Formats: sequence, C-alpha cells, structure tokens
Amino acid sequence: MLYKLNVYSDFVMKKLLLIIFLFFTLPIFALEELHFDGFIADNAKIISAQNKEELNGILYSLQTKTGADIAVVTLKSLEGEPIEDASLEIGRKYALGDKKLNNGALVFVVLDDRRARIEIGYGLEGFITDAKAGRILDNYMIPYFKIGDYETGTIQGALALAYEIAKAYGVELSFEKPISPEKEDDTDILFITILFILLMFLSGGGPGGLIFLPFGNFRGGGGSGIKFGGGGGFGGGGSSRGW
Amino acid sequence: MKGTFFMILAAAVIFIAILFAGTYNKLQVMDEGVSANWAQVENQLKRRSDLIPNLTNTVKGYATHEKEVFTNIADARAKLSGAINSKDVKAIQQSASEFNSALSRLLAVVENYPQLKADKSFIALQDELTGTENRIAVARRDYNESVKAINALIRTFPTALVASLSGIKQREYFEITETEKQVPKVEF
Repeated sequence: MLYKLNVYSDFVMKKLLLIIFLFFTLPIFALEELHFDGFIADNAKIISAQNKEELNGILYSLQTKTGADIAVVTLKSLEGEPIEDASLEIGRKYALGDKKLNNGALVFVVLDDRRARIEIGYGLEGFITDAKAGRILDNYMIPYFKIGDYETGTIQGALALAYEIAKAYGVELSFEKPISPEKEDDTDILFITILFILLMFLSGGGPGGLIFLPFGNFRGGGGSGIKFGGGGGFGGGGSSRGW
Repeated sequence: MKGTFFMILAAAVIFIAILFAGTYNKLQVMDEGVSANWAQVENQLKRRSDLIPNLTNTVKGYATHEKEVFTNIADARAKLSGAINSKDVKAIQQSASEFNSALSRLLAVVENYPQLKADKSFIALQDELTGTENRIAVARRDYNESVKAINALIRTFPTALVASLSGIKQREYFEITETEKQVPKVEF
C-alpha cells in the first residue's frame, strides 16, 4: 500500500482517502498489477519458466475440457490486507471461470504474509467444498511451504485442485500446448484500433477513453493465447491457511 | 406559431416521460438487486446455522462438560432462524450478533482440547464454518454496497421524485455491531 501511494500523486492520495471515508462498508484494497502469463501471475517470482509452461498446459487442458479457470497468483505481500478480500477481488476483477458456469478458482500464495488461500467460484462450490479446499492446502501446499519450497507447494496445490475439478466433471487432463493465436489477435487489435481512430476523426473527436476499449479484453491472456472465461461469480467460498 | 409551441411542448412531455420511465426502470432493477443481495445474506446466515448441529456433536465427543455452551448456541440458533423467517433486518442483525458471540464461546472452548483441534472431521467443519463466515462477510458487503447505491440515488434529484411517486423506499444497511467486531477469529 505504502509504495503505491509514493507512486501516485498527492491528488490520488486525497481521492483515495475520500473514497475510504465514503465507502465505509467496503474495504479498499489496492491490488498491485498482476501480469498473467497464461493462467499464472507469478509476481513473487517463485515458479521457473519451464514449470510455468507445464502447469499452463495442464490448466489449459482443464479450461478447454470443462470451461473452468484456475488462476495461480503469487505475491510478496498484501501490506496488511486480508487474503480473503484480495482473492475475492482477483476472482471478480479478472472474471475467472466460464461466463455462464462461473466455475473459476484461484490458488493464491502470499509469501511474506505466510498466508495461502484457495478461492472457489460459485459454479465450483458444489464440487470443491471449503473442507476440500482446506485439505488441498493441508496436504499439498502447506507441508512444502513449511520447508521453504514455495514453487513445489504452489504447483502441487494448483494441480491437485485441477485434478479434483476434472474428476468432478468426469474428464481426464493431459498437457495441452495452448494454441497461440497471437498473430491474428495482433492484427485484430490493430484493425479495431485503426477503425476507432478513424471513427473518432469522422465523428469529430469522440470521448478519448474509447480508444482504449479494444485492449480491455486482453488483460487475461498476456499474449499466450489463453484468456479467462469472463465469469467472475465469486462469493467468498474456499479456505485459507497460514504456515 | 401556435403549432410550433405545441410541438415543443409535446416533445418536452415525451422527453420527460422517457426520462421518468428510464429512471423508474433503473430504480426497479436496483431495488431488485438489493433484494437479491439480501437473499444471499440470509442464505449464508442459514448455511452457517445449519453447520451447528454437526459442529456441536463433534465438539461434544471431546468436551462433555461444557453443557452451558451447547445450550447457548442452540438457543441462539433457534432465535436466529426465527428472525430470518420474520424478514426483519433489525431483528436478524440483533440475533445474528448474539449467534456470533455464542459461536465464539463454543470455539473458545475448543482451544482447551488439542485432540479435538486435530480431529479430521473437526478440521473439515472448521473449514466450512470459516468459509461460511467469509461468505457472510462478502454477502453483507455486496448488500450494503447495493443499498448505498440505491439510497444515494433516492436522495438526489430528480430520482427522488420518481422514487417517491413510485413508492420505492430507502433500504436498511446490515451493520456490524461492536461485539461482532471483537469476535476472535479462530485460525490454523
């Protein structure tokens, strides 16, 4: 939180304080920018490139077969924010899970806070109960975290969750290389952007904000050809642990 | 000349009617949203209360002498479900907070029984319980946000006019009581 304020100007800080006063019912959480590489936003930098690719392959297989998204997020610290609030915000903001089924989930590890959480979307609550999420944390993640092996713990947790979900849907998972439609996407963006600029000129300069619209949909994939489903129906299901 | 005047008048009337209809519809949708969010709060309160019989049974297996705690939570549970059936926000708020303190006393008892804390089925129940606590917090927050949004609209012009004409009233917040803020969270 502190370093965020340093980056922003005084004006933003005043605004922030105002918002805090106004929204007394709503805890304000300044989530740091997540850079998703496929399904993984490894801000704490604990997962190697090769393991990332393999995990993405499995999670992609889960997505193509069931529509379920598992996002894996690692952070250094939440600066005192409860992990439950942060994971809810990630689930909703990045719209995890199929748009209709809302079958998104999040494996969330915060290193310095020594807290981990599995957040479960509405559509998966029936399959992955809070108790089951707790058991995944207890059996696959926390034992590794206790000995400082964050990479294995995080990957094992994500895989265990993926296989549980696959079992519930009755599908088998295998490594699937995400098809990368990068080139097409790029030309699409370029085309749409040019179209927008053209339209703006023709209409005598529309609202400036519009020009960024076409990029809004690409926050999930990060150029890997993977996109989250657009669900985001989360109501606070899941389990948290410390170690 | 007269014709133009009436044309302008008619256009103004139509414009106001469209504006009114739009505001009216928006308010209705928002009011419905508040109700849906409230239903979610009730659902989660019920869900938590449904976990209690299992929880007390598990705890009873280890802590046989803590009769008072068990009676308290059973009473609080009955009172809460009565309040939920009455649909009265204030009553639900009150009994939910009483339920909370009964529950926290039960969980405080657990602290004295290390074997119970290590019990697999107790851990599972504890997960369901904390998960539901979190769901209640989320549902309450979502509800309060939607109440805030609709109340703000109802208090400002011109929505205030439309609201009073169509009978849409401000909604009540589901607030956290002071005792609840002090409820100790049991963590692993």
